[in-house]
Amino acid sequence: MKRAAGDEWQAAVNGTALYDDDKLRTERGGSAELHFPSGTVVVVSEDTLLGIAETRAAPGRPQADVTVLRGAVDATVDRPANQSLTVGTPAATVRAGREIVFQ
Amino acid sequence: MSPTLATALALLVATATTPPTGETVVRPGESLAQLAARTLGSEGAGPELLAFNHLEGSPAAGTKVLLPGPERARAVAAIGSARSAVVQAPAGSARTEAEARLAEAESLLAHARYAEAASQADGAWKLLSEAREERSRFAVAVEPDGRTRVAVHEGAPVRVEAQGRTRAVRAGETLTVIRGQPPGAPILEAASSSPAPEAPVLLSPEPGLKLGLEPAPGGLGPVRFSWRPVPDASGYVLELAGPRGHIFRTTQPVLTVPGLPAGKYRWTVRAVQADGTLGPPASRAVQLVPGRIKLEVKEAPWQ
Repeated sequence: MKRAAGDEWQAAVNGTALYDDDKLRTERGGSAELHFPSGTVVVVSEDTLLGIAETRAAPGRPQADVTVLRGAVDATVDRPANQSLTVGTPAATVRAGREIVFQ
Repeated sequence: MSPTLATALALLVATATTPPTGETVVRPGESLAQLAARTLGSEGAGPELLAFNHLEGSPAAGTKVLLPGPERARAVAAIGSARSAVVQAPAGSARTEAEARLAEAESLLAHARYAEAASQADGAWKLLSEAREERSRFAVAVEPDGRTRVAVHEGAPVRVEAQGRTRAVRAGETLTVIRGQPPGAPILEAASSSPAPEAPVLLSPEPGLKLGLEPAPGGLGPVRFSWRPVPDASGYVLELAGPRGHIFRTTQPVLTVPGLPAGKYRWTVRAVQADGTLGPPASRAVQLVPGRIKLEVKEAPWQ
């Protein structure tokens, strides 16, 4: 993983916290699970590079955003009525769950 | 009322409610429907335009007319989502209530009350979503050439947007987006143009095996899963169901997991074709238990 303000890649261990603009890279044969405050879980496959775009849950809008630059992710949004997940890629933006939330 | 005065009043009132993003001038001979079609994209939006500008009749040529801002786009999007959800919802009390809210949202939109319209439409959407409340599971893969492949495994549709165009991808469908192009039509896995690959033949662990393992980070391990290569497969998806669910993707017919909590698991492998479609699954059960501690007895180095 690489911190937003850092230049060095460092090994992530179980329970490592990731924040906005941090980057995560898995190597061949490796994988990781990202647990967002909203409850959304993103499984990162091997040989994948992604960035954390948004971890803050705005009032009434639990949200999680990641940007996948290479590789693959599998996402599970348990309560799509109250959660949302946006996955950005170089070619498209994929949105799951709530589109607009008013409280 | 003169056109200039009408414009001045409209500006005063509208500015106090919803900030406009622009204005236009009514062209000679242009009807209200034509004006609405030109500015809001719908001939039927004439009354809404009048309401937004606080006008009672069709404005004369040369009249400046204010145009609504992003609040309208948000209301229209919310109504679109709600309408789509209502169409897909099964008959029942939730749908009836959602239809009523949707009708109210459309009425509010026609009166240029955008925030309220969006709120009502969102309420309708939420009603149906909560009635469904099924988890959404999907995969996104970025190919080396920049293509993005989206596959929805279960739950509500996901929305894929590229180049200003949005497509809904439903459970069982896949969609590929080429960089710089709008998304094409989703395809059903079963309706893929290329034949689905065959189910992998699983090798190890053997069926129903109780596997004794040593402590490892994350539980017990390592656990090595293997299967015979499937012709023409570009990769494989291995899904673990048990004390710890997990989905792995690999390009090789073997995958080693460093550690897993003890317990009973079902592992399922499916081959992935070049276009991203998944083949039929092959599945087995395995139980992970702590293995016996290995001790080595050696001769004492003293006499």
